[in-house]
Amino acid sequence: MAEIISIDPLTRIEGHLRIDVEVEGGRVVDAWSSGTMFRGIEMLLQDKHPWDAQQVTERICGVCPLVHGTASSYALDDATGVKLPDNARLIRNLTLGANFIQSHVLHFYHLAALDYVDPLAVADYTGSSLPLITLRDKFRRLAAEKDPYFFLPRYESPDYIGQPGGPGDPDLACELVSHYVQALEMRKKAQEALTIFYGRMPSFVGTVPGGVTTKPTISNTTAFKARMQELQQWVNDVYWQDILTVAQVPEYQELLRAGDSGGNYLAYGAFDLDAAGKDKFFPTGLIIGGDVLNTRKPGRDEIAKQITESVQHSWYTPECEGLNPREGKTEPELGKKDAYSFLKAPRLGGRPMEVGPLARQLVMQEPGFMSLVDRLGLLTEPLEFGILPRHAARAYEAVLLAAKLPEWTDELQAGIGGDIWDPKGAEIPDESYGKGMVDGPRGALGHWIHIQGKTIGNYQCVVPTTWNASPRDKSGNRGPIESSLVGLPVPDVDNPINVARCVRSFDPCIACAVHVIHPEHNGVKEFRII
Amino acid sequence: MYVATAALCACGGCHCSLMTVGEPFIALLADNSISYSSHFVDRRTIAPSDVVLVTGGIRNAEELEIASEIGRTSRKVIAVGSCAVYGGIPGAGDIPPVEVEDGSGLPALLPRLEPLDTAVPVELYVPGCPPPPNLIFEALKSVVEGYSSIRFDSTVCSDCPRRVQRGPVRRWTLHPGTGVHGADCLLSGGMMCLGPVTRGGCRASCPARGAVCAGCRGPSDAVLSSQLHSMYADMVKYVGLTCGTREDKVAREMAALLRWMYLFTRRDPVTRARIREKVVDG
Repeated sequence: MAEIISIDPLTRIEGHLRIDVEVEGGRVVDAWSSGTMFRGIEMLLQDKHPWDAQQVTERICGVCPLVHGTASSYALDDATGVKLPDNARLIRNLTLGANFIQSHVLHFYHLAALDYVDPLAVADYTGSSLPLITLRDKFRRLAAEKDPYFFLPRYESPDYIGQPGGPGDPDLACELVSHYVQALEMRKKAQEALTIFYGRMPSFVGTVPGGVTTKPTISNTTAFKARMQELQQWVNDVYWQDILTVAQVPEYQELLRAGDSGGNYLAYGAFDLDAAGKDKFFPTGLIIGGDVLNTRKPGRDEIAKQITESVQHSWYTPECEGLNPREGKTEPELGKKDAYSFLKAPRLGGRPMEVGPLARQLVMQEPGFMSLVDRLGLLTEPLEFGILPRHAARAYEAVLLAAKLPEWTDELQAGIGGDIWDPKGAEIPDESYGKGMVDGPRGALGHWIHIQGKTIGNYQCVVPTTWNASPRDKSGNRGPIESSLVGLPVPDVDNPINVARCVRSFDPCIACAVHVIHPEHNGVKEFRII
Repeated sequence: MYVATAALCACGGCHCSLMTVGEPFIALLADNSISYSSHFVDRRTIAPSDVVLVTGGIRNAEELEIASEIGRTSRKVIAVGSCAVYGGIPGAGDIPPVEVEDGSGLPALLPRLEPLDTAVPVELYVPGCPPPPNLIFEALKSVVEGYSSIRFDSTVCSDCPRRVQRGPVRRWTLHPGTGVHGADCLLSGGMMCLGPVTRGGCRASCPARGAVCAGCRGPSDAVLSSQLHSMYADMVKYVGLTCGTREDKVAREMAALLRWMYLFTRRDPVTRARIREKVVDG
């Protein structure tokens, strides 16, 4: 008999996400992803001053405010006709790059790694690393005191690295746990680097319509570069190596292909290499139907025209159905029949698209990454990219950016004294449209602004998690996370660890307000924890 | 001691800020334990705890239930971030109440977003969007170690490295950071910075980098001190004094500022004396 498993809410992600999967014969046969990102931010912006948009949209998400602020600045630049000076372009690239690194490190070590590693292996640690000894003593003491919170609730699974009878050995698990602690400090360095130009993080202030607010100087560029060099070494020697280690664990070989989202990938691209933004370090492009060796490269304008948002299964009025975000509407209708999510379902030419590091790397086709997926045997039919390739793509991006950021810092240093702001950014037209499309750590982010009578007439955001965690659309197509769950092996319905692994590999990020449905079902398993 | 973190109607920024504390936070956890925290560990059911850091305001019936549960099971609650303290940006986005049909399973939306202390007694307040890592950590440490945290009344201006240029301002702009400004006070340059009336402790990180203070830490103690003060009235007075312009003229110019003066504190525009007594400051 098919059994429905509900994981509500999924932890170690940002916000509330509920996942329901139907399991039959040890595999997922159907899945529903219900997200809530309803805090009414788009509605709050209506009739406000256009310059409020950037401050307010940063508060959509506390983990990636930088990307929202940057997209909002680009949208306003577009609406006011700003020509971005080189220094402003470089500073936006540098800060976005540092944010990519901190976000990717945070995701792998602090959010996802506990799905693969058994931290209790540290209780038997015999080495001399100070943080590990502290942890070991702590674990032992808690065990001796029979601490009620000590044994963290988690799914039982025979394949955690370092557990008795599991893959790898306890030493490897100890090493990975020590990297968890190191990653805290490394992430802090990336955050510090951001604050050099942007004052603080999260909810920074330094990018504004028209440019940035901090001039490059010898001292701030040098301070930035020093931190980047330190990060570069750590990312190459630790983060990247850890990913390779995990990807080669024999027990996880199934996770290389399991969790494929259906073969449609979309990247808006990021990091402008010229003033017009035509040439990008992460290129714009898309892949349709799993044809990964044949990337299509339409322009952003063309991509933007093809986006529609379906609300057939979302709590919004039918008037919001099928609109392009330029004309988009956000009118909630709770209690709607068939609806199960607050996320809309964005589609490109009617197709659900996966966005994020894997999409970007497949579009970019950088030789280093392609040779890795080839080595892992993924370039043979069927072309499927599952859970682990998503983590690998994320780590590879960190490697690429850690190498590139010092170069851009040199470029910025050479331009000290130049403009950082175009005065056009301070003039608001009576009526104008603007769009800001940029790839953030989690994927393609778009902001659309319609200025009417010098105030915001309409503001729409289509965020990466809306693409990935979207519900079914009007034609009944599943969203990418839902598709990726179908076919996933779940040998033990009481411990659906692979479901959690798969959803977390997308790095979902759902700032939350209202909770989601509880279907009245026979055989529903409610997991309040995990 | 058992330490916990919880998120109500929050974006995760305060948790991100807390995570940036890094090693001192880990060191604190060597002698204390996390009892639940949806962001850091897998346990998120509310359990008895000594200190709970709560982020976010209360927007729906479920969040109200969680807040009350936290109140019942915890000894001390710290309100972290402007959403928990004042209502924050979601408080500014209140929508008319929406009726939820029975059987949809959704928790009912409350008529408006309420700050945390409407549901639970709060031991300490840490306003900011998000508060700087050191302030969140200081609040936590002071409760865990049982000392009164250091606090003093300051404004953002008292930390700001910029120089005030006395004299009339020729043209005011609402732009948050007009490129060229040198080392002068942003107000002297015609930018509407809320530094003079906003609570300090953030090391003036925004104006120091050339962008105006948006007032995310809420009104300063001076503003909260009596009903005769408000962020708006105090701004008019301050600008009038430094610019030597007549107050009624300044008041007209500054009226445009009302649009975002209460962006973070709209849910609670009336002064709240108890916050004055219990806020952790730089």
